[in-house]
Amino acid sequence: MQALVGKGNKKPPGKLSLRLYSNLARYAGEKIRPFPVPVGPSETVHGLIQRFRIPMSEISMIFVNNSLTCKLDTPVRPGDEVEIFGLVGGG
Amino acid sequence: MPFGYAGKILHINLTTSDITIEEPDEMFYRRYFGGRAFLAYYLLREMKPHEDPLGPGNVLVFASSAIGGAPSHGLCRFSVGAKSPLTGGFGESEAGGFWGPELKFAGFDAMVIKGKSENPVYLWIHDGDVEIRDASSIWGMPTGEAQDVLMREIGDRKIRTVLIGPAAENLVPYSIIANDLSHMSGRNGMGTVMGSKNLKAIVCRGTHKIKTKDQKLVGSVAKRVARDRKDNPLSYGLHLLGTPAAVLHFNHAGALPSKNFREGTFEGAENISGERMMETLLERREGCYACSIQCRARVGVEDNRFTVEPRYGRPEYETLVGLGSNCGIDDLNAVVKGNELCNKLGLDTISMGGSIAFLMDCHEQGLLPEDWVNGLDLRFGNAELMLQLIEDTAYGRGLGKKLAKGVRDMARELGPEAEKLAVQVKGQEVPLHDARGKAAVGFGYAVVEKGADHLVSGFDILYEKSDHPGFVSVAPLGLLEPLDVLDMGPKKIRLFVYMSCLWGFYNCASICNFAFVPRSITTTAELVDLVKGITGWETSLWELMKVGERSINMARAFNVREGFTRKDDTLPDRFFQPLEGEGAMKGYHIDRKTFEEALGLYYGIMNWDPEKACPTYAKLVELDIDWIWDHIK
Repeated sequence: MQALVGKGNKKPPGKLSLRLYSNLARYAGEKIRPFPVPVGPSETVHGLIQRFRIPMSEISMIFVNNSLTCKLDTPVRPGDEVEIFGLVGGG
Repeated sequence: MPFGYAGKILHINLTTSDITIEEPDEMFYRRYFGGRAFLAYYLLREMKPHEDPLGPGNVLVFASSAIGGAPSHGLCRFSVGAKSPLTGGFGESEAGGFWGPELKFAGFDAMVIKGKSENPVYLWIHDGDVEIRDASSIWGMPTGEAQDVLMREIGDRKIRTVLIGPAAENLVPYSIIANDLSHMSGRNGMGTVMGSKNLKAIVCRGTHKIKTKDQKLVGSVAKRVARDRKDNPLSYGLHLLGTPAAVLHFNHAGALPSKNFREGTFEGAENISGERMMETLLERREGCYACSIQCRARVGVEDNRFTVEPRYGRPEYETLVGLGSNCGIDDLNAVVKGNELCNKLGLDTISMGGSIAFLMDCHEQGLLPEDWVNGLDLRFGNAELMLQLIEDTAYGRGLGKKLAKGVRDMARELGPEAEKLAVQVKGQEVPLHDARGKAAVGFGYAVVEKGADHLVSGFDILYEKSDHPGFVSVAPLGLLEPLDVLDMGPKKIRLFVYMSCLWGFYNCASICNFAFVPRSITTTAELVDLVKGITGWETSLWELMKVGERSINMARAFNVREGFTRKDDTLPDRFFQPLEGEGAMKGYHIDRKTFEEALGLYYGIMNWDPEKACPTYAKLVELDIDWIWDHIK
């Protein structure tokens, strides 16, 4: 009973929307659309990249809420839209 | 029989119906290799200067290479060359698929076509035999119908075809050659030259296999690539979405050509993205001869306005942007339909889209006279009109008659204000990469002999980060410092020269840049192994890059002979103006002084005369092609 009460008090983690472009889709089961990702209170862009085991060498651009960011310690929160671009060469 | 190549070049005179076979020595194959260098060799030797591109004196060359069609990935391409009716200079177009290998299986490495047939004909090349056959029953037909008839007539569904559509028959200067309906020799109006010769199609079928010196070595490279292609981010990305993956990437970066290159972002980009196309229209993925990467696909459309036949292939990035955002259009189904129409009727989607975008821009700027507009709603974004204008161009109806001149000639007719909006170089409409967002690509637009072309040196984004697999892959060339994408300084010009020599080799050797570094998976060491394994030649990266450099100098010599000078190596005014709109690159433009300095430096590095923009005698000697001096001195 105690444990159940404890669980009830704990707020479920919020979610952000993550989109992995082009070659990065393979790090999330080839999802090419945005998908929800639960995030804790002190999550960063870098944490997300690590969680999905994305090699830094395969990343070209990162956007948080439509804003280009170069800083890996940029905090991310529930409700954010994070977009990570891989490598393309056009043609 | 030699290793790798057939050892036979076919010569056909369509005026006299003479057919001869040339058997060049090994030195010829090793010095020129194939592709672009073969084209330039025959255009310089067998065509008189200043021939009419649409006259019988133009020479049309189809070339595979010393290694084309060998049993490995990425060796499927062939080149087509002639004096271009679009630019008046060296004309060159490459395509993948299966036709190039089939030409070799049929017994020939290349063919040189002269003269003009009195009546429509097609060529039937099969196991060393060649026939000139009547094509009057298929003249006027769209490409797909013509192919159906040829398959029935020949009675073999395994034939491989190159053929032209009505646009080429009507001599629209940017007409394509369709290769098995879904691979296009799109640029420079090579289809138009076929049309001018009354040559509807060339059909190949062969059973000869290409002999390799060391099949174990060739097989080991092919197997390594087949095993690792999904681990390499570049080849995997090509497989997953193909070139259309670049739409959203470039849009976010602020360099997606929109509204005739006015802006660098497009509100409707998501609608015309590779992701959207894959989710809604994908029928199946496919690939070219012997290739494990499988970067191509078929798509189909059925909506209440029209259907699209999947056999005409999926639009690539160039087409999605050329008929899409650059015309302000975000209707994916209409863009896919436009792709089908261009491939059916035989038009280059880059030049067609560029011509429509130019007119829409002129219209919005109030530069079009009423007798051009004629009541049409020419504002950016009109998808229905785009489709109508493609058909009107192919058949020379209404405003299509103007569009069929291409951007440069329309702008000349409209006057200086319109010329500022003409996004073309040497008369060829610019591919869908903003020169302001990719310095080396932009620089290449200016100097490449065929006119604006994007497949010259690789994109700047491949070389901007020290850990980028593209950058890492070119270290064997001595390219050791990453460079900013917008940098057009001396180090970038050095990189451009080295990379265009490697790429130049690719264009001589039937090599697909979607299979080899820096854009894909096969390394330079493996490239050398493949050439060794196929031909048996003890070669090196140095020798192969010299082949590429030789081909650039030969194409340049052709243009010099036709009267091209430094002033033809230029960029459209638009790229010297600030990018409009709200994208990440808003306000950016190329600095004219930086560009001019880069140009001078390029001629210096190439050892060319800086005023004439022409190879020196010393450079021709160094490249073992001093016979060309007599053509240009």
